[in-house]
Amino acid sequence: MNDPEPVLLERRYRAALRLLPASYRAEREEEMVAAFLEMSGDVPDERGPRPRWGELASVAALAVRVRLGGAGARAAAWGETVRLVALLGLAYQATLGVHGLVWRAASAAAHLPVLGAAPSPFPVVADVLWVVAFVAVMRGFTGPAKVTAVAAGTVSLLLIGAGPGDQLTWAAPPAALMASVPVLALLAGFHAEAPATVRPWRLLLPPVAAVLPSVLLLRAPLPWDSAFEPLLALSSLFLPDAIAAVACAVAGVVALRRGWAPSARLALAAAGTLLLAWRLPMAWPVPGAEVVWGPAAVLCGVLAVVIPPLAVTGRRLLPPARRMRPGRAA
Amino acid sequence: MNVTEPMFLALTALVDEPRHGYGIVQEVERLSGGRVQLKIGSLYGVLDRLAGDGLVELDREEIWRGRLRRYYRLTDDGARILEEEAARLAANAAAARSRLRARGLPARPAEGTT
Repeated sequence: MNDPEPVLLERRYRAALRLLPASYRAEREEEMVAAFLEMSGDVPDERGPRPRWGELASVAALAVRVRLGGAGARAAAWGETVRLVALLGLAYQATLGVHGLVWRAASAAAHLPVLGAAPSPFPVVADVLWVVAFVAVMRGFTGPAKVTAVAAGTVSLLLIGAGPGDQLTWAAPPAALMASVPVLALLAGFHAEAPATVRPWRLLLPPVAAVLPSVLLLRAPLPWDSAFEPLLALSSLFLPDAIAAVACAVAGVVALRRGWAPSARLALAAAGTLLLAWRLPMAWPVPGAEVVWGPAAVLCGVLAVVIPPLAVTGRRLLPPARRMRPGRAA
Repeated sequence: MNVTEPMFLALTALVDEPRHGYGIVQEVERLSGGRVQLKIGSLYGVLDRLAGDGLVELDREEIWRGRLRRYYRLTDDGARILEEEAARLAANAAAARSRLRARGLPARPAEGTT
């Protein structure tokens, strides 16, 4: 066929279609362009025409769906990876939320003074929202989960931005990643065509269980006066983020040894990378403060060892991309 | 399966004859009284899903003004699913109208009917 000379609008629409995977474009691009130009009518280049925002948004949404759950086992595996990243990220934020709520309740019950600035209700709001978002997505209520997670992420990002200057320098970027990646993964992965799954109630327990060690450590009759530094180092390993790092590393080893699916490996690699980014600022060697950075450095080392084989084997085991014939019935 | 409104309208658009992409967009707009205006990206998302479930299939390809047109047709499975969904919607509508009448509100004629 003799292709007509592309007009400006066509060139711009084709540029937008580059959001779609190459295999999809090979099948669909020509008919999508034809349909779009028919719909748009003849528009001279002199007017500088552009595709409307609605059209661009629909292409972007199609690109997300095709890449994360469209036709083919590879897209389905990527979709599953993104959904697992969302679940792991929300589980982590829910753990921090439960931890924060428990400690605030314990502090209030013991009438302990609050350090730093005047107490604000926003951290409590963020904690509650993360817990609600996690419960909602685990029980299959993806719509409410998205709304709650977006609200939780927004409040958390505002809190990170309002933090003290030194915290903003070192810990803000990984904290912002931790708050935004699960939300983005939730929005992208749990689309209309994604399989709806209601997970059992028992899977809601890990965020609660991860808080128990730090509570038990506080209640245990330990000789804090005589062995302050070793106990401080030990207690830092009982915090939720340290437990999450250990859990991620253990799960990664199990995934490698037992041949878990590539989506699980890739999701653990992504979650491990986020945790590594989160712990790395704490692992910076400061002379005389080994009890603070030593345990963090050990955890970072463990994660750094486990992440690469998870990512490499997960990527290698992904099903091959297949040529698709989307117009034909299965 | 969950049949969304754009899917329902796209299936309905293919009942009488095979149509190409923009033809489906036009017919959906006509069927919905102008309320549903499918974007091209949305249309192909709908077609992907319908084709993946075997409810529509490729009928033929044509070149029109130097550009590719693919025509899609309704399959037997697609007709059956559309019939089931139409029956379900009609039952829901009948139940709503019946209760509105019981409440004393006059039932409004459906859009597109006289």
